[in-house]
Amino acid sequence: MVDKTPPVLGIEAYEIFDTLPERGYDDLVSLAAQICTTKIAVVSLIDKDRQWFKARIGTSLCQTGLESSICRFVVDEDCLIEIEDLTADPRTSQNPLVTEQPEIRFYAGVPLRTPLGTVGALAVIDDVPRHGGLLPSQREALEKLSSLVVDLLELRRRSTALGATRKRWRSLIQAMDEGYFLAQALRDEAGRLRDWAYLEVNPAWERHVGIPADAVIGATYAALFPFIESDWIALAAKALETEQPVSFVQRVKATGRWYEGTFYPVGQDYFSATFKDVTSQIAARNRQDGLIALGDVLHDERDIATMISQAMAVIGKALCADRATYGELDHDIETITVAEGWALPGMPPIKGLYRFDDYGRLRETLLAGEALVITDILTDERTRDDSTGWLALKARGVINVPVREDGRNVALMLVHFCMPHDWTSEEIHWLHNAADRLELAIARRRADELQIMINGEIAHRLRNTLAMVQAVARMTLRDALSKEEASRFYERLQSLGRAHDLLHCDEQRAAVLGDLIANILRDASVFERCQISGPVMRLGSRAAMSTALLIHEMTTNACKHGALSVPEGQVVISWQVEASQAGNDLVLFWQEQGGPPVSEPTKGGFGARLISFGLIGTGGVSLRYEQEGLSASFRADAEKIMRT
Amino acid sequence: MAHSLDYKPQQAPTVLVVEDEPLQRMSLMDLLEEAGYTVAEASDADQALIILESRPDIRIVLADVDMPGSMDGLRLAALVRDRWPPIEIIVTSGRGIPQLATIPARSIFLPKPLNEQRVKEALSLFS
Repeated sequence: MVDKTPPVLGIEAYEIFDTLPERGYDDLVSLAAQICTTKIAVVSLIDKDRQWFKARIGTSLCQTGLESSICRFVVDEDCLIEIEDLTADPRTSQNPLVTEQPEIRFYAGVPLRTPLGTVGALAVIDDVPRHGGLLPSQREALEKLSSLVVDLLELRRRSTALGATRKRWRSLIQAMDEGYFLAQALRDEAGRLRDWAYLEVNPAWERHVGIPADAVIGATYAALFPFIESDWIALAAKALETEQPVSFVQRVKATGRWYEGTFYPVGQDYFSATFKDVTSQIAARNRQDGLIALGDVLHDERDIATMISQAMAVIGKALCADRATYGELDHDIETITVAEGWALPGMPPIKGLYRFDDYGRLRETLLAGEALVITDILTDERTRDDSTGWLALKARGVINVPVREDGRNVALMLVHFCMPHDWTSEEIHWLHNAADRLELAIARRRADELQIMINGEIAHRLRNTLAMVQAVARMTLRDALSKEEASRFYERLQSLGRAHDLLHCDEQRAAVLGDLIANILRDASVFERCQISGPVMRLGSRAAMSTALLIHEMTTNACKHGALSVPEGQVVISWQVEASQAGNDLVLFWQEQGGPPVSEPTKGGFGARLISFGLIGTGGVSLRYEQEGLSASFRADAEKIMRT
Repeated sequence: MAHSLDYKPQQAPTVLVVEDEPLQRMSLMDLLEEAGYTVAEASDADQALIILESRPDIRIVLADVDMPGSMDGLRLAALVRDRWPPIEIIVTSGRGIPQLATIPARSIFLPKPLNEQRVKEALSLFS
C-alpha cells in the first residue's frame, strides 16, 4: 500500500501538540526540577508560531509565543544553553517572561534531538539568578532526561504509525473485492488438521461464498458447509506446515464453484486466506479449450458414431456437466434414440429409445426447432409433472440442442447436470456453436461415406466387367488360341484388375508402387524369388494401369525365358527418385540374376511393345541383355506418374 | 481311414460352382472341367443348397459373394460350413476383399477377375 501524502518531518510527525498531559513526561520534568533544584521545568516543543509545553512543573503557562521562547535558541543552536542571569543576557533581558511575570532569572535547556530533527528542549528555570550555573552532574542528568523525553516521543510516533498502518490494512481488507477470512486450525488427537473455525471474514466473503458474514464468525468449516472437502483441508495444512503461502485454483465440490486465491499462515496455528470466485472465468477457459478439442475430434475421427461419442465427451467435460450424449429424432419428433454418449461415473445408463411425451411437454419447443433449456426439471412448468423419468436418469439441469441435417432437425445434443443448473447465455451460445460444427462434420462424413460407396460400386462393376470380358474371351477364343496365348491374355486382364484393386482401395485414389508390383508377382507365384525395394511412391490411375501391364510382361518373360525360368534364378526390383532437367524422375530397375544366358529376342510381339511403352506409355526404357541376365531400367517423370 | 466303409478310390473331386452370372459361370465350369474336375452348377444360393442336399459327392463349393436372392455367397458359405463341415469353400468377389470375420475358417478368398492359375492352385490344395 502506498501512502500518497509526503512524509512529515520534524515535530509534526509526532502529532503531539495540544494533547493531554502524560505521566511519563510529567515525571521527567519533575525529576529535572528536583535534580537541578529549580522551581520550574518544562518539555517545550517548538511549533511554527509558538512553543507548547508537553509537560511542565512550577508554571501555569502551557504555551507562549515564539518571541518569549528561550528554548527556541536551544533548538536553533542545537546545543545546551545555560543563562545564569537572564536580565544580563542580551538575548533575554527584554523577554516579557523576564521583564514581567513570572520574572524568571535562570535558564538551562538541553535540545530534544529526535531522528527527525531537534524539536524542542527540556528546560529547567528559576526565578533567581544562579551564578556558576548547574553543577556538571546536574547538566549530565539533564542531558539524560532529555534522551528519555526523546524516547517517549519516538515511542509515541511509532505506535501512532503502527495504528495508522493497521487501520489502512483493515480498510483494505474490508473494501477489497477478494473474499478474506482469518481462521484457527482445529486438530484431532493425532495433531492432524481436521477442521477450522472462522474468526474473521470481510464483507466480500458473503458475495463470493453466499453465506452471510455474521453467520460465519466462530463457526467451523464443517458446520457451515455440507461436507468437509479434503483438498481444501490439505491446502490449509500445507500452508501451516510449510509456513509459506499456498496458492490455489480449486473447486468446491458441494457447490461446483471455482475459487482462486491463497492461504497464508499467520503463526500459532492461525491462518488467513484471500480468494475470489473464478467459476465463470474457468468455465470460459474450459469452453475455449473444449472448442479446440472438439475441432480435433471432428477433424480427425473418420467414423461418424465414434466421432459423435468423442465429441460428446469433449462437450460434457468443457461444460463440467454430468452427462453429454446424442440422440437421433424420428421424423415426427415423437421419439429419440439416445446413444450412451459420455457421462461421469455414477450416472445411470441412458442408451435407448425415449418418447418425449413421457418426459413432459417438450415437443412444442423442439418442433419449433429451438433448444430446450431447463434450469431444474422439478420447477420447470414443462417437466415438473413428469419428473420421474428425469430423476431416474439423475438429470435436473437439462439442455437439448437441435442438430440439423439438410435444414431438418434430425438429432439432439443432450447435456445433463445432476443438480439444477442456471444455463448462461455463453453456455447456450457455445452449445449452438458446437452443434453447428458437429452438423458440418457429420455432413462432410456422410458425403465421404457416399463417395466411398460410389467408388466401391464403380470398382465392383469394373472388376465384374473384366471378369465378364475374361469369360467371354475364354468362351470365344477357346478354339482359336493356343492354351498359352489364352492364358497370357487372361493374365494381362488380371494385372489390369490388380491396378484397379489398388486404385480403389486407396483413399487418395492412388496405387502404391510396391504393393502393385508385389500383387502381380504374387499372382505369378514368384513373389518369394524377387527382392523389392524403394520409397513409397503413389501412382495415378493411368500410370498404375500401364505400370501394371509393364511389370506383368516383364514377369511373364522372366518366367518363360529369363531368371525365373530356372529354380535358382531371382529378380531384384528397385526404384528411386532422381533429379532430372525437368524436375524429378522415377527410375525403376529390373535386374535378373542366376538365370540362363539371355539374348535379345529377334521377334517383337505385343508383349515387347507393351514393355517399350515404359512406366507411363512415354518410353524411357533401357534393356540390356547381359551375360548374367536381363538388366532393365524404366524412367519417367515422377510428377506425371503421381498425377496421371 | 483306410478301413472306412465309404472309402473310394482317389479321384478328382466334384466342385459346385455357384455364380449368378451365366457367362462367368460357364467360363468357370469350362476352366474346372479342363482341369479335370467334375462340376456341378447353381445360379444362386438356394439352388446350391438343393444340389448340396442331393449330391453327397460334392467336396468343394466355389461361390460368388455377390449374388441376388435370399442369401449371398458369404451366408451360403457359413451355412455350408455349418451343415456340411467337410466341404471346402472358395469364395470370389469383384467387390474387394471381405472382412476376415465374415469368411468361414479354412476357406479361401479369390478376387475377380480370377487368376486361373490361382483357382487351380486353390482347388488342388483341397483335393
